[in-house]
Amino acid sequence: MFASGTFDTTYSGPILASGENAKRARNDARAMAAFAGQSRALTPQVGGVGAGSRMTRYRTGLESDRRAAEQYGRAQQSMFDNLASNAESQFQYQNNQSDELNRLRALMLDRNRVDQNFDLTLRGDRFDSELFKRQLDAQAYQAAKQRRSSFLSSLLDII
Amino acid sequence: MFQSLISTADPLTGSQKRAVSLHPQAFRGSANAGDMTRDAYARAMSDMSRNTMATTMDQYRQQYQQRAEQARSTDLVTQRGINQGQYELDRNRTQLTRQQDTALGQGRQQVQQARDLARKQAEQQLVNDVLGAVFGSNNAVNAAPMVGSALAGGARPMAGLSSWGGYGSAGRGGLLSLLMGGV
Repeated sequence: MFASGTFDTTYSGPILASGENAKRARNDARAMAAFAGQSRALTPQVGGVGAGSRMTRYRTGLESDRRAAEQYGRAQQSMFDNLASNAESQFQYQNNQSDELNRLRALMLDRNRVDQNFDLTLRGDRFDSELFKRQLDAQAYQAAKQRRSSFLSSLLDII
Repeated sequence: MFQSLISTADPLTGSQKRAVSLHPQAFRGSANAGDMTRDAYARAMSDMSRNTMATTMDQYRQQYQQRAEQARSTDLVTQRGINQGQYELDRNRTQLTRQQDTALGQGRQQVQQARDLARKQAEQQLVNDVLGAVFGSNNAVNAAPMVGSALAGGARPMAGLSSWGGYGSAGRGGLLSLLMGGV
C-alpha cells in the first residue's frame, strides 16, 4: 500500500496471464493436431470387403491434412491470443500509470497554488503590518514634535 | 522536455511473430506422384495458415499503434497543460511580488515624508516663535500653518523667506522689514 501523504504511483506493473497455462494449451492443441492428422483413422482398409479405392484413400489423406492444419491453426491462434493479451496488459499499464502520473502532477500543481497563495497573502500582511507600525511611529513622532513646539511657544510667551 | 510512458512500438517481437507463424506441415509425402499431390495440399494449408496469422498480427499491430499514439498524444497534451498551469503560477508570483514590493516602497516613502514634514513644521514653528518673541509679533506664530503648507508643496524652509515680505510691509514687524531698514 502507498502512504496517503505522498505522490507515489500505485500501479505495480502489467498484470499478465500465466505463461505456463498458455504454453500448455498450445502444446495440447498441437498434440491434438498431430492426432487429427493421422490418416489411419479415416483410411479404409487396403484389402478385403471394406477396401477403399485409391481415390478414397487420397480424399481421406486430404481430409486428415485439413483437420491437422485446422488444429495447428487453433494452436497458433491460442498463442497469438496470449501474446496479444499480454501486450494489451502492457498497454493498459502504461496508460493507467500515465493517467495516474498526470493526476498526481495536477495535485502537485494545486498544492503549489495553495502554497503560493498562502505565502503571498502572508507576505502582503507582513508588509501591511510593517507600514502600519511605521505610521504609528511617525504619528508618535509628529505628536512629540507638536508637544515640544507648544511647550516652547508657551515658554517664549512667558518670557 | 515532455516524455510519455506509453510506447508506440510494435507490441510483438520478431521471435514472437515467428513462433505464432510457425505452422507445421501436416503431411510430407514420399517420392510417388499421388503422395506428392497430397504433400502440395498440406504445404498449401500450412502456407495459408501462416499467412493468415501474419495478417492477423499485422492488423493487430496497426490498431495497437494507432491506439498507443492516441494515448501518448493525450498524455503529452495533459503534461503540457499542467506545465502551463505551473507557468501561470510563476508569472502570478512574479507580478504580485513586484506589486507588493512597490506598495511597500511607496508606503515607506510616504511615512518618511510625513516624519520629515512634522520635523520641519516643528522647526519652523520654533523659528516663528523665537522671531515673534524677539521682534514682538505674536502673529508670527500664526504663520506656522502657512509654513507647513509650503513644506508640503516641496518648498525649502529658508527659500520661503522671500515670500514673507508681506509681514513687514503690513507694519507688524518682521525679519525682512528689519533687514530693509525697518518701518
